[in-house]
Formats: sequence, structure tokens, C-alpha cells
Amino acid sequence: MLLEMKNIYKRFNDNPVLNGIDFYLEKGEVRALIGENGAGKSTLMKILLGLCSMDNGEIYFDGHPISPSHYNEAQSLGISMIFHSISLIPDLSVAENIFLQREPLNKFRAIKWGQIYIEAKKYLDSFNLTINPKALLADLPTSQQRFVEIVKAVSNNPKLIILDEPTIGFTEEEASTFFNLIKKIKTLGIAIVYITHRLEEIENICDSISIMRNGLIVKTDRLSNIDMETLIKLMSGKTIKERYPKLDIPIGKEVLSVNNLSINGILYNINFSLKRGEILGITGLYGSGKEILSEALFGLIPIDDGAIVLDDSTANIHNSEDAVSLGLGYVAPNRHAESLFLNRSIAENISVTNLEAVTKHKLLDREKEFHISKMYMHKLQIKSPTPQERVKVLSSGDQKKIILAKWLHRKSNIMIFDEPTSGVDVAAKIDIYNIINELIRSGVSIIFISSDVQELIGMCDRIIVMCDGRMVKEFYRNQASIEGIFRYATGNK
Amino acid sequence: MLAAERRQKIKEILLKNKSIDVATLSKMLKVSDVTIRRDLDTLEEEGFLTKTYGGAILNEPSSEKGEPKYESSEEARRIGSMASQMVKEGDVIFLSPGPICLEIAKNIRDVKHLRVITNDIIIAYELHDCINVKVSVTGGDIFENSTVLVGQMAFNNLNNIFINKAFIYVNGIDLEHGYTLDSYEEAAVLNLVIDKSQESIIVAEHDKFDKLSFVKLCDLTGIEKVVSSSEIPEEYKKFFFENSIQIYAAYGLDDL
Repeated sequence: MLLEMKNIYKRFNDNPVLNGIDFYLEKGEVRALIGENGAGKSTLMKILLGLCSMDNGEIYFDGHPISPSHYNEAQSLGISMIFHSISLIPDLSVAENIFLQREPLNKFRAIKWGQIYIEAKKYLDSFNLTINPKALLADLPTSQQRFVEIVKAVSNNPKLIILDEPTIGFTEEEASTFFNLIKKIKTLGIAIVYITHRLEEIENICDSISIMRNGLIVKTDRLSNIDMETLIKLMSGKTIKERYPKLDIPIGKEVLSVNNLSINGILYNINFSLKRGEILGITGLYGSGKEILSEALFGLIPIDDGAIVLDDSTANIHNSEDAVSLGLGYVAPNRHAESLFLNRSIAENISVTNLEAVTKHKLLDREKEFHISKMYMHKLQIKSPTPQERVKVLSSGDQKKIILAKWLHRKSNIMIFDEPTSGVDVAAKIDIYNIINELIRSGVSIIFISSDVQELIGMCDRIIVMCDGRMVKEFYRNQASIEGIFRYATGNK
Repeated sequence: MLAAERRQKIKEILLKNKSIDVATLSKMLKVSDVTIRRDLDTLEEEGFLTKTYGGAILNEPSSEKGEPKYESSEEARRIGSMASQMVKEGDVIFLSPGPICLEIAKNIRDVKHLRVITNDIIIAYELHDCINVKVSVTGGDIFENSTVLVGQMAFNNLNNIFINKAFIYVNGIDLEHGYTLDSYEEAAVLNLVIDKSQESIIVAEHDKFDKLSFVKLCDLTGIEKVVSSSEIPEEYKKFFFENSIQIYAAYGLDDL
């Protein structure tokens, strides 16, 4: 055991902040410490660093009782903290910052400058950081300054590093460099306490997690033993449903029913119905048949048996043109052949579903196509200067929005979404959920196929679970849980 | 005589006579016609009088003043329409002052057994003739020539009320500083409302993001839902999702 904090109490002006905390850490362990603002995370760490006194409790570090009374003391014991604000000296070089107050000296007690730069470069290289050791710290972007700070901390050979919300203000690229840095530190056997409110980061780098609420640690466990839903519940008492922008709108009459749909050897007796304004989720593991089902509904794969009934009359869907003319839209996965013409322009991709709308005297009206596309780009916030831009160069989130635009343009009233949020960033996900909300408000019905069970629980009115080509379970919104869905998806009951 | 003093005189004269011409005023106050006309312009801007050919008429408080209005943008209508979807039969909702809340009021006239509590007279007036909806006003003091009610009387009444959804319009939303409002008085009332309601829903146009107003209402995570438009900055979408706050964005796809 590296660190044992036992029965720690702290009050600030009669307000209890820590109410008997027990916090243990193994050597080399990366522990996430999470909790809402005011849960007591920073206070606990400040006590460990000697920045704040405790009212009661004991601390053992590396087997010895400690009671650091200032930060230097903690540092000499091998505990370092990377604070939220950079605590380096901006007017010194990167190397000078790293070796500050412990510069290598020659026999005349003069600083060996050559060696400083060589040593610093060695450190930076070992972390795959391309930062010039002679650069002035102030000239580096904030993210790199933070990297230097971490390298400096590591060069002190600490046993424990505490990181407080280190990725705030980072771009995704910087964050990924940062995660690699942490992984490297892990291999050196240094333990880390990682304070964050970004749950997604935890999965990336942590072994275990402690959740704080109201001055108590409510749970500590291996990360693999805990799912996101429990995590959020423990943090705030909220359930995961409340994270997704679900909009409850009145659900209308049946618009589609699938009866005994079968494809030999792949799908067996699929039965379900879909109502106006409803979001129907379909999930299952890879190979459960959920992707094939979506393609079959859209006429991309012929069915061997059964029927698809639209508005009370049997629909003859032999190919995707039939499906489109019956009002179906298929928001295909980004790399799917049905999704986009990557080498064509935004405008051409949008207008393709409804060429009549942009045709005048049997000729394609390019100007009209341009204006219509421009309007969709504005409405859906597609970030490209012009509709003439080729789709290939856009982000996957924007590409997804163009697929959406082409079906909006077609005014489809049943939309099949096949893994709509896979590979897009969080902001684009939120956009897609909200566009789905707008669609159901205007009376569109949605079949939402996804492997992301959380988003289905968050957004759908009903969820169908598939396993080995069969529908094995249907959950209503208020009954669905991750465990329940997973149980059925894996063939258990 | 100072300009302000002179204008006060003009007000007094008009209050007594209801209307007057420029020539008479310039004689009474011993200044030129031009000066008088300039004063009348100022007073018209203040809404005290209406200029006529060669003179002015007093705007009487009882006379047709026209309904007080919020500037409702296309965006406010879009957001209000989406937020109104959250209002269900049997709800007790609170609507704070602001153009989006007014739009919500316009969209909930058909919701059955609805009770609306508001501290904005315009919003109460918007729903006053609606049979389905019971409207209560918080009471309180009129805040600085507005239609907003604040103060102890509003607190006292809110203290006895249970609200299940509060829609709150804010002037600033900032990652670091939370939701902010223009005045301390309004923030005090809305803070109590957030305390009293089961669910608090922030409504704001996209230009309120990354912006600070004067008084902090609460942290970004202090409420349950945010409703705005498709133009919200991306980092906020991310922040809200990661902190389990439902973020709704109105796209206005119905007019495509």
C-alpha cells in the first residue's frame, strides 16, 4: 500500500467538508477521484499536500505516518501535484523550469548549462514530446506548459502525482497527447490521483475510481466493475436517462408494421410496429442481425418471407427506390455505400433524394439546388463555406448532417437511423439527438438502430433487443436498463 | 433655467392642460421654439407625450398605451415552441420574465389543468383570457418601469407554492461563472423559484452563451435542463452532456 488516509475529518467554520474519509492507494495505481463541485475532493488532496490542516485522522505514506505541514514537505516525501493553474516561471526556458533549484553544478558550483539542455531533452523525448528545451516557457501554448509541468514533476522521481482537472481547455489532439503522457507515467510505476468531472476521460486512463459526495467517499471500485449509469447515479443521484435530451411528445397511430419478416439463415420472424412520432430503438451485439434488418426495411436486401405494412397496406419494397417513394429514409452509417457521394458537392448530395424539387423544364436548376442546400446548411449548422464544397473534406459530424439533410429534403416520414452517432464527437451527438427531436415533433417516426445502449435508453420510447437474428425482448422506456438489455442481447433471460 | 428643470415645468403644464402648443410654451418659459421642440422630442422618447402639429398631447396613463411587448425574435419563437413541448397536463409551471417565456405562454393555451405562476405581468396578461390555464402572479413590487415583479411580497407568496417545472430566462451563460441576470432583485426571486421547483429549465437565445451579466443565479450544473437553439457553442453542448444536464436545441425544421 502506498497511501493510507484514515478517518479524515475537516470542518471550515462549522461546515463539515470531510466526514470521516478513508482513502487508500496501491503503488502505481491510477485512481480517478470524482464528485460534484463541493464534494470535498480538493480539500482531501490539499490535506495530503500539507496545504490544509485536518481536524482528525491519520495518514501513512509508504508505510510511515506523515503529517506534512507545507507543500515542500510533501514534495520531499514524493508527492507532487499539478495544479489547475500553471505554477512555472514564464520568463525561464523549458529546461530551466524543469531543473529549477536543483540544477546540475560543476566543481565550481556553476550551473552546467549544456547538461541541463541535454537532460531536459532526454526527458521530453522519453515522453515523445516535441518541445524545444531552450524555448521560453511563455512562448508555449498552455497545453505544452502543462506538459512541461508534468515532466518536471516526474523528473523529481515522485511516488504519487495528483492531477486536478488537467485537460480543461485542451483540444482533442492535445488531450490525446496528454493521455499518452499519463500512460507513460503509469509504466514508471508512479501512482496518480486524477481529479476530473469528465467521465469519458476516466475510461481512457484510470484503473480504479473513488466517488465523493458531501464529504464522504460513497464508492471505491475497479473501473471494470462499475458502469457509467451507476457512476452518474452515485455522483449526483441522477439516472442516466436525464443526460439525453429526450422530448416527450404525444405518440400517434401506427404507421408501419413488420410481420414475420425473415431472411433465410439471417433473420427469423421479426415482428414489430412503429407509431407516428415514436422513437423505436433496436439493439443487439455484433452479428445479432440488427444492421441487416435496417437494410432489409429499406429494400437493400431482399426478404424471403413476411411483410412490411405501411399505413394499413402491404408495401412492396423490392429496392431502395420503392422504399424512398413510400416515404422511408435511411440514415446510413458514414462509410456505407448508401450514405454519401464523397467526391460530390454538398448540394449534389442533398438534392439527390428529391431531384423534382430542383428541376425546372426537365433541367436541373443549379441555382435552386444551391439555395436549398444553403438553407439546409444553415438550419443544421453544417460548418462549410459553400454548398459546392466536396463532402469528403467535412467532419464526420457534418457528413452525418448532410445525410440527414437529404432525407429532410425528401420529407421522409419514417426515418431509419443506423448507428447515427458512431464516430462523431459529443457536440455532433447532441445535434443529432436534437434533430431527432425536431423530426418527431413534425410527425416523423424513427427507427433508431444503435450499439450504444445508453443512448437508446436515453432517447427511445421502446427498445427491441435482438440476438442471433431473432427479436428476443421488447422494453418500454421506463423498464429498460443496461443490465436488462445486455442480459437479453447475450442470449440470457 | 436648466434643461431638466424646464422639462419638468413642461410636464407640469401638460399634466394640467392635457395639450399645449409650442408657441404658448416658448412664451411661458421664455425660450425659443427650437428649444421647446427639442424638449418635446425628449419627452416623447420618454413616452410622456405625443407630438402633434405645432404642439403636444399628454399620454394619459389610462389612455391606450398599446400592450407592452418583448422583442420576440424568430429564434425566441423557435426556442419557446420547443420548450412548450415540456409542459404537460396537470403541471404547475413557473414562467420568468423574458421573450422566450412569453413565447412559451403563447404555446400552452391548450394544455389542460395547467397552472402558471409568473412574476411578469405581460406573461400573466398573455394568458388572462385562457380557459384551460389558471394564472397566478407572484405579487411584489414593480421593478424599474418594467413589467417584472420583485421583492419581499413576491418571496412571501412563492414560499407557499409548489412548482414542478420552472422556466427561467437568463441574460448570461458562462462555463466559469454560471447563469447570470441583469439585476440582483430578479436573481433573488428566481433563486427562490429554483429552490421551490422540482425541475428548473433554463431558456436563452444562443447569444447569451459565453456572456456575463451582472448577478449570478447559480452554477451551470444547478439546474436540470437547458433549452436554446442550434447555434449554441459546441463546448457547452459537451459540458452539459458530460455533466448530465439535458441540452435541447431548437432547429426550427418545421418551416422547411
